[in-house]
Amino acid sequence: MSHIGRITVTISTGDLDGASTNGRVYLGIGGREFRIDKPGNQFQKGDTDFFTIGDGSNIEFSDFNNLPIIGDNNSPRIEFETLSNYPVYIRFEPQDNEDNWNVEDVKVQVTQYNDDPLVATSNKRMFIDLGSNIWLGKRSGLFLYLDRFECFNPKITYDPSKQDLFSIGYMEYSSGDIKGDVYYPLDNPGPFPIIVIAHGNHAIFYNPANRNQESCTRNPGWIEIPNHKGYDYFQKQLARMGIIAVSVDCNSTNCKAYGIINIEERADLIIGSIDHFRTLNADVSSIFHNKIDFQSVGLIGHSRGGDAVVLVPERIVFSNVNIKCVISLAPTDTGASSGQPNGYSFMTILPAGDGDVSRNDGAKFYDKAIPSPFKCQLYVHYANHNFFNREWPNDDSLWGGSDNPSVMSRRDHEQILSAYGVAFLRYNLLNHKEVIRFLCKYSIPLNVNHENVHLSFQFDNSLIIDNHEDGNTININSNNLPTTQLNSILVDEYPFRQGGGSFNNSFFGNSTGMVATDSGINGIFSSQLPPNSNIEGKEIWIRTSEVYNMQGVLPTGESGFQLGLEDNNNVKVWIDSDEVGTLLRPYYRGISSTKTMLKTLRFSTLCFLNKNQELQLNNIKSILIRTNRGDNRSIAFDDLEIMEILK
Amino acid sequence: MNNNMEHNIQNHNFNLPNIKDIRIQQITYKPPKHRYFESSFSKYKEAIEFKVLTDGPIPVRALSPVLHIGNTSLTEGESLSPNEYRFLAFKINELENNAPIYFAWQGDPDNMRIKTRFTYRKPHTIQNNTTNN
Repeated sequence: MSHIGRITVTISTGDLDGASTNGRVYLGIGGREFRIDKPGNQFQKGDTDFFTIGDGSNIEFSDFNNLPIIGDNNSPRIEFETLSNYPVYIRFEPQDNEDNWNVEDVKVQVTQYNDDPLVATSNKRMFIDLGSNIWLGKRSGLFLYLDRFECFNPKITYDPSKQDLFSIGYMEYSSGDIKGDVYYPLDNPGPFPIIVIAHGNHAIFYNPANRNQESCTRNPGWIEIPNHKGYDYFQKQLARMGIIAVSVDCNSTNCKAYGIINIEERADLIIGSIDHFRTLNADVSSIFHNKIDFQSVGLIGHSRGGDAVVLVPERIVFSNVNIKCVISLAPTDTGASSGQPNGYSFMTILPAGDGDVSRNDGAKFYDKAIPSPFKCQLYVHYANHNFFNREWPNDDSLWGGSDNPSVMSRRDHEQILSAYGVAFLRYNLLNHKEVIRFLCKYSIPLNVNHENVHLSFQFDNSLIIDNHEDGNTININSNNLPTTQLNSILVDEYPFRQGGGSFNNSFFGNSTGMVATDSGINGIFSSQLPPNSNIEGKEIWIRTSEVYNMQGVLPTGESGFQLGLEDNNNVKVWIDSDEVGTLLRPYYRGISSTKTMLKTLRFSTLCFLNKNQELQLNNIKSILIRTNRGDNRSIAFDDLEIMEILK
Repeated sequence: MNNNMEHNIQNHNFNLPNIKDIRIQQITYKPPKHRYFESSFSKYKEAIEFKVLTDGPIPVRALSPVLHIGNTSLTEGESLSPNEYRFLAFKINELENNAPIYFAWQGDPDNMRIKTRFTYRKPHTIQNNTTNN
C-alpha cells in the first residue's frame, strides 16, 4: 500500500489594496480538510506563504491537523490512489462580512510514500489554480477549486470565431479601379476596427458550364471570377464581432504583371481601399461616418496578396492610420518588401501541401519578423493553397507531384483560418487578451482540425537565451555565455534557409539555428544562464523539429529529446519532448520537396518542479538538451527563450 | 486526425510552355506610377527588354515565371497577349554576352531551370519602345 506522506502548499496573496486577511484558510484534499496556518502572520498583501503537512510539517495543531505516518484515528491517512475521487480546493473562512482575501496563486503538491520501507517515492502530483487573481469572501464566494497540473494538456475550449454580437450589413464599393466589398456591424455607433483583405493572382473568368474551367481571357459566355468574394465567410465572422471587414477586388492586377511590380500594384490597391474608407469615415452622408477606428487596422493577404500586405506598412503614409496586425496567408516573397515584418503583430499561415507556393515563402517572413508585440506561424499539414478562398475551386496540392498526401476538406481549411485568424485579430484589434491562448497552444479551438496545426510563436518580452543570430559560434549563446557539449552529441549552427552553408536543402525559412545529431543516448548540450537566474513562474520555449534526411523515406516512428534545468547545486531535472507535445516530423512531399519546419514547444517550470522539488528555480545555472533516442536522427533547434507563463 | 480528405485532381499543372522566340532590345523605360507611393523601379530610365513568344500560355499561379540570363535572373515581366510575354533587365551591365537563357519559376532550384535554345546578345541601339506600365 502507499499513501500521501507529505503535502506542500504554496499560496500567494495578491498585491492589491485590501488583499490581506486574518481569516482562516483550509485545504480540501483526499476527502478531508486541513487548516492552513502556522506561527506568525500569513496571507498578507504581496506575500507568498509555504506550508508543509505530514513529513516535515510546519502547520499548527499538528496533533490532529496533520497527515499521520501510520494510521491514526484522530487523523486518517489519505491513500494516493484515491486522490482523484475527491476535489482539491481552498476554503476561506473570513473573520467577518468585510473580510475579503485576494488570492493570486495556489500550488499544492503531494508526495506518495511507501509503507515498507517508509520512504517517499518519486510519484508526485500537483494541483494548481489556472485562473488569474480571485477575491474570496462572504460577498464573492469562499471556495477555490484547483485543477490537477499536467505538463502539457491544452483543453479544447470554444471557437473564438463564433461571437455574434452584431447583426451585419453588406455593400460593394467602387471608386475608379478601387473596388471591393465590405461586411460591417449594424446598430451600433462604433467606432470599429477595420481589416482589409487582398486576394492573390488567379484566373479572372470561368466557364459557367464547368466551374473548374478558368481562364485569363473572356471566352464567349464566360463569367468574371469575383476573387475577392472568396473570403466572405471570414468577413461575416469579423463583422459579427465588431470588425469592419473589407475585401479588395484585385482582378485588375491578375493575369498581368510578374514580380515586384505586381506586388506594388496590389499594395497600391490596398492603400487605395483604406483611403476610400477614410473618405467615407469623414463623409457625414456616409453610413461609415465616424464609424471606423483607423488606429486599429489589420491587413490580411493571400498568396501574392500575402506578399503585398507585408509591403503596405512600409509604403503607407497616412498619419492617422495605425496598422496593428497583418496575416500573410500562403504568401509569395518576390522581394517587394524588406521581408522583415516590424511594428505590428504578424501571423503567417503556411499550408504544408501548398502546390503553388510550394516553398512556403511565408516562413522567411516569420523568421525575420520582429514581434511587435507578437508573431506566430501556423504550419498546417494536409492543407493546400486554394481552399481558403471559396472562389478557387481546384485542389493544388497534387500539382507537380503525385506522391503528395491528400488534403483536408475546404471546410477544415476555412475553420482553421477562422479560428486562429480571428483569435489573432481579436487579440490585436479588440484587445481580447485571453484568446492569445489559442495561438500559444494553451487552449485549442472547438471544432477545428487542430492536430494538423503546428504553431510557432514569440512575444517581444521574452528573454532570449540563444537565437543563434549573433555570429558568435555554437560555443557562445546570445547572452554571451558559454555552451558545452558532452558525450557523443554533435551540435553546430547552420543557416536555416535555402542556399550555401545550410545543414541540408530541407530548410526553407530565413534564420540561423542549431542542429544536434547523436548516435548515443546521453549526449548533452548545455547553455549557461546569467548568474542566479530566477525562472519561477516561467516557461522555457524552444522551436524544434526532426530534420528531414533528404533520403526520400522517413524513418519509422517519432524521435525526440529531453530538455533539462540545472541549478547551482547541480540538481538536474529533465522533461521529455513527448511530455509537452511531440517533436514535429517532416511532412512528406516527395524526395526533394519535403521540408524541415520548426514549431514551438513550451516547457513549464512547474513541470520540472513537479518532478523534483529540490530544484531551485530561483537559482538556475543552465538549460540542457539531451539527445537520448539513439536513433541517429538530427534535430533542429532555434529561439531558446524564457517566457512568463500566460494566464 | 485527418478526416474528410478530398482529392480534386484537375488537368492542371505548372509546366512552362516552350519558348519559340526571344527578341531582345534596349528600351526607354517608363516606370509604373502608383497613386500612393513611388515605385521602387522609378530610378530606372532604360532597360533591356526580352520579348518572349511561347507555344502556349504560362499557367496562372501565385509564383512568377523568371527568365535567367546566365546568372542574372529577370523577375519583372508581364503578359502582353496570349503566348507573348515581356521580361525586363534593369541592371544592363550585369548581362553577359552569349550567356545561355533559361526559363523557370521563381525560386526553382538550378536543376529545375529549362535551358532554351537562345543566348543573350547585347542589343546595339536604344529603341523608343516603352513598357505598358
